[in-house]
Amino acid sequence: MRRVEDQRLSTGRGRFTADTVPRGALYASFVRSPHACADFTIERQDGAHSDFFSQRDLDAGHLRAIPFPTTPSDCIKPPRSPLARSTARHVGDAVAVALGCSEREAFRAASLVPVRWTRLPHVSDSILAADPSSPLVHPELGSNVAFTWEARDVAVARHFEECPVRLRRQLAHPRIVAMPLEPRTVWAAPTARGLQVATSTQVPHIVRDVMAAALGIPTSAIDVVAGDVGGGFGCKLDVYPEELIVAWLAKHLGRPVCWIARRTEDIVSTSLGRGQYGVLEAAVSGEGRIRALRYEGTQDVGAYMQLNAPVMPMLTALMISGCYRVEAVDAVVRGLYTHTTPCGAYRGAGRPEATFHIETLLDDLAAELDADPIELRRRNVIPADAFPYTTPLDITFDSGDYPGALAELESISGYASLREEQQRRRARGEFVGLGVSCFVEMTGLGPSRTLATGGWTQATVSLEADGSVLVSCGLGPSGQGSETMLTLTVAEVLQVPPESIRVRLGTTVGVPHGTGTFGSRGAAVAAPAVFGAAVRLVDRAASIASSLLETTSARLVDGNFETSDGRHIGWPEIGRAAHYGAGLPQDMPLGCSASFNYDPPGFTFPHGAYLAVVSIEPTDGQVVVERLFTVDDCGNEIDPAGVDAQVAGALWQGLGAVLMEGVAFDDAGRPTGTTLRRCHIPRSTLVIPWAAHRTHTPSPLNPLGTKGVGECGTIGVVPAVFNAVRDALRPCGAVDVGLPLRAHQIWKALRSTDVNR
Amino acid sequence: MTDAPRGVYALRARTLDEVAESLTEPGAMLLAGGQSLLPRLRSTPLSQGLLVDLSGVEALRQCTLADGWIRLGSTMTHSAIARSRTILENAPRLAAIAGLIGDEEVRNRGTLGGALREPHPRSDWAACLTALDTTLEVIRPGDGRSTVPLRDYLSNDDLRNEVHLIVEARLRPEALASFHYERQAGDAAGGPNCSIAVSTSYDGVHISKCNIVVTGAAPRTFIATASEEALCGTTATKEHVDAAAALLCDGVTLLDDSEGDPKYRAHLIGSRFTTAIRELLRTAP
Amino acid sequence: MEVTVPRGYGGRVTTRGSATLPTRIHVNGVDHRLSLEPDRALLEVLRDDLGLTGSHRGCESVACGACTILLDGEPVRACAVAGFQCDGATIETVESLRNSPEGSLLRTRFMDARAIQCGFCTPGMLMAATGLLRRSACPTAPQIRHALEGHLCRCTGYHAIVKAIEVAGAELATC
Repeated sequence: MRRVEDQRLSTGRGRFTADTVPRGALYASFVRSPHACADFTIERQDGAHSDFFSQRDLDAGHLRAIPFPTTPSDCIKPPRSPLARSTARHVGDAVAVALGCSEREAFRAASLVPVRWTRLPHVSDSILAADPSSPLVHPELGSNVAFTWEARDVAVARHFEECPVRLRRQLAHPRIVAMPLEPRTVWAAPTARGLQVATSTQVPHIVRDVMAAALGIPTSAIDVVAGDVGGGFGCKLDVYPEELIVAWLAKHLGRPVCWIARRTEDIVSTSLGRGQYGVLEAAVSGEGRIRALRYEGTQDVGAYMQLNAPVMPMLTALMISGCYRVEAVDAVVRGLYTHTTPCGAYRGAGRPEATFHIETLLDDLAAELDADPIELRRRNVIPADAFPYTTPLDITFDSGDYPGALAELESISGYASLREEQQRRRARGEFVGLGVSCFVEMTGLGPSRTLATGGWTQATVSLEADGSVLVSCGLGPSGQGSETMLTLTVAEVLQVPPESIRVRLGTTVGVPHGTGTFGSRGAAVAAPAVFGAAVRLVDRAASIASSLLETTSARLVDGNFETSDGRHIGWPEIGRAAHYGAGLPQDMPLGCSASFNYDPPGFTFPHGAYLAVVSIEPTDGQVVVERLFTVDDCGNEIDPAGVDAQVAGALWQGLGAVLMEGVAFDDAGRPTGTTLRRCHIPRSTLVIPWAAHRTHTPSPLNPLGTKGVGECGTIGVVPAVFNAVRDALRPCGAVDVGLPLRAHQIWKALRSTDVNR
Repeated sequence: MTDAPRGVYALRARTLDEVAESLTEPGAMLLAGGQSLLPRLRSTPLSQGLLVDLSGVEALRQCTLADGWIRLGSTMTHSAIARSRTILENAPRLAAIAGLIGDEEVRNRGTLGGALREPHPRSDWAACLTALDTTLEVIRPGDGRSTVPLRDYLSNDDLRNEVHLIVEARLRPEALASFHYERQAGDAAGGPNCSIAVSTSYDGVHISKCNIVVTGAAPRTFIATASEEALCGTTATKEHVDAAAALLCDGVTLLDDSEGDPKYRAHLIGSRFTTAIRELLRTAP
Repeated sequence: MEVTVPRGYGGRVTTRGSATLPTRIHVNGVDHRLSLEPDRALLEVLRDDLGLTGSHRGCESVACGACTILLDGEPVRACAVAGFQCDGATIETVESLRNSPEGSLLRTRFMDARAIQCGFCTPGMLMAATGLLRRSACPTAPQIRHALEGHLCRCTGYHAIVKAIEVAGAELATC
């Protein structure tokens, strides 16, 4: 089936936020710090008409701080003003906002704002930031530690004493720019009732609620519409200062105000993903069984704590044992402030880091024990009959078949002959490697008891007067095809053609409750909610039909409601009758709609197994991914073509992360690569022969058996390729490589062993 | 709120004389394909200036072969060069180079003159045309036409810092017979990475002349003059070539960024130089 | 001609040129007579003056391809073309794809192949593909990838896009 969204997106009729800017809007442009840390002053000429605002003006207008309703209370976070008050804390930190009648004029006005900077010492590295001698990002806190989270288990120590094999690995995952093609954009316009806001976001309801709190107006006075969103990947799962400031300006000035991020600006002011450094230790039995794990993680929080900073490293710790049956896990993670762009979720949000650590450790263990990497994994994975399985950190995996995935992977890749081929090529002097990853991932965020914003999703399905169906749900999609997936879900239950269904997502208008799209919750949380609402709608429609047909038991058969003696009535007649009330009993309420609030009983756990074959060109260190085999299992699939698309996209973002992406900071604390040209992300010319397979292990947690899959590819491919490269380098001993696997790093690693020959 | 008063003007030039006259105007900026100027205007908006549109000057768009010279008009797009009958018949390797520049959209709009005018660190044309002993015909403000070898133009900051018009680039088609471009496409489709263009005069025994130009490795495209001098007059044995290779980056500060440090870049340039020389000697007429 | 000396300007004032230039452009089959300031890119003119918001801006370094349109039949980036230079030019944007055989076929094959996810890069991809198919019959996957080198997509991994263009190209060639 063709996607519902594509009709408009393929004709240039998408409604991205920059496409719907009201006429006469003023444009905003932000003045941003070019320094990692600097005090600043803004001169104001007396009597001069100023077309810019600083935090002093926002303070006078009662926009003093960004309300943080959702960060765990034990995080150490200073109040954050939307604009910096007198100290800028990262390159890109906004210190003033200028206005103009056009984007160009606003930009020019911003360049003329008289800011005087005094550079201060900075720290850009989270490990260094922990050192007491490092500059403090928030001096009033006395330390750069933003949070500490731990799950301690004293039993771990015993395993480390008893086990004959112990490994210790430290790996860093650099900061990643999410780089959605659509830069952040927001406009706000005053209305009679309050404010109309359009913003490129994954979480319109959270934006609404935070905005209402910040501006001191009721949530019912703000409408937030995301429209079509050009990619989010987690970085639009935040409420940003710019959104609040634009809303405030519209309210203060009484006119529409718009801000469209420039790409260079977006790169330094939008949440950066990853940025976790971890040390993983394993205590392993003589037979190669991992008994215990100890994980210590350090998360780079950046200069300010945004919505998700504590969540990612916590999820890393919770998933650190991966697919494996481990007896004890001890974990402590902490977040450190640095003078860099704040961190946020990015496709996988903590789980890629966990998988990266445990899967690279497995390969190291295999090398140490001279075991085959797949065989060693088979020895350690949770068996297929052990579900539901609760990990030592009290996470319950709903279902899975890890041995099945590994077997499928071996089969589709012809693993044994790949190894033989590797031997032959190695004998010829080639650097060829095979790398495996076997992963499980946590999706369907999540049970409300675990999420500060609540994890439920409410869906409403209503029958319109003309017989068409309107589905409303509080998701905030950005390309996943959620409209299509939910259309299919409803079409099947109501037995109506997909064309008669309209899905309303990404808006608070007509959808009062929602939390947005994140944590791969579309298929695993929203779809069951929509399914539940559709089922209730059938019941509701059946009772209307029964009333109209003067029977007690009309049933839905082949798209019509039928009596036992064959009389029938269709959805359009029911819709009309329900809307106008004709022929219905007095006491029956008008309308035909149903709602369902689904609070997932637990997270869902898709899994997979990937294999990468790589070779390394010794003359320049270039990594060539020659082949990729993937086995993914996300339970039941509502829209298989949509799953194909999500896996492909996630995979390519993962390839970017392992092969070429990563923000570095120079000596002055400035990010290197702040233009789209310099931030390398995969282009069409990255060609990798890839065979994608799937297995299906449904989830018992929801009636659809769905698990969500949007982030799996990103999680599975990074360790597979990383392991393959280290496998290629292992014969010459050059295994000390890190992310990203850029040619010059590999070449250097090769050379360092040449020197020793 | 009103917009600030603007002093940005433009004129659509039709003749070379019009362009020449406009060069003396304050704030004059020549606009051909706009692939460099337009993004610059977005990042640094103008408050005053005169944009002189060259796209309507037919004389600048011509491609001719006359008197043994290929003449490429400076506003020829890279695509036009790649598809030109004259070039395909007389200098097909030039067309092949044109087909590699940037990406499809840049090739369709970006011009030869624009590419040479920009001191871009990654420039296929700067490297290749310099190695091919290309001469530029330019018009400077208040002056008539004059010629400058591209070799000198690359480093002539006095000339480059003032507004001037490149009229055309001239080269001999025979130069392509002993020319090799060892190129690596950079990651970001932004141009070549650590690539080297070499041309030689080799009679089977001695190398009597050689041009060695490196692009995508340093802040500017540069000529490896020390290597040229070292190789000239030799019989191009392995020792001679290695000795020349060792001097390639002499006096040049190579780029140090996420794609590699200077040592890595020097290694790439050296190995590509060796490949280029080997190819040239192998295919020498 | 009245000339205002802008703030911060050094002294001499140009006597040549115009502050706005009359520009005739033919966009999606419709003629427009506009009066354009010199430093406005075609992308701004299309989106802000003509309301054709299908072409998107994704960067300012001529790198993403989301703004690609056909200018006299050739794919170029609208962000890097000065509007006033388009006097007399024929411009096709994604909104006009229905009107051309290559364009409408590409649209349907994109949809069939699930080559669209967030849709932001899609207009540029479709215009580049239309330009390609008009010039090359039956392009191969490597040729297609080369033609799309200037286009970034963060959502799809490119496979479905390349596949869609390959299929459309093959179909057009057999007609």
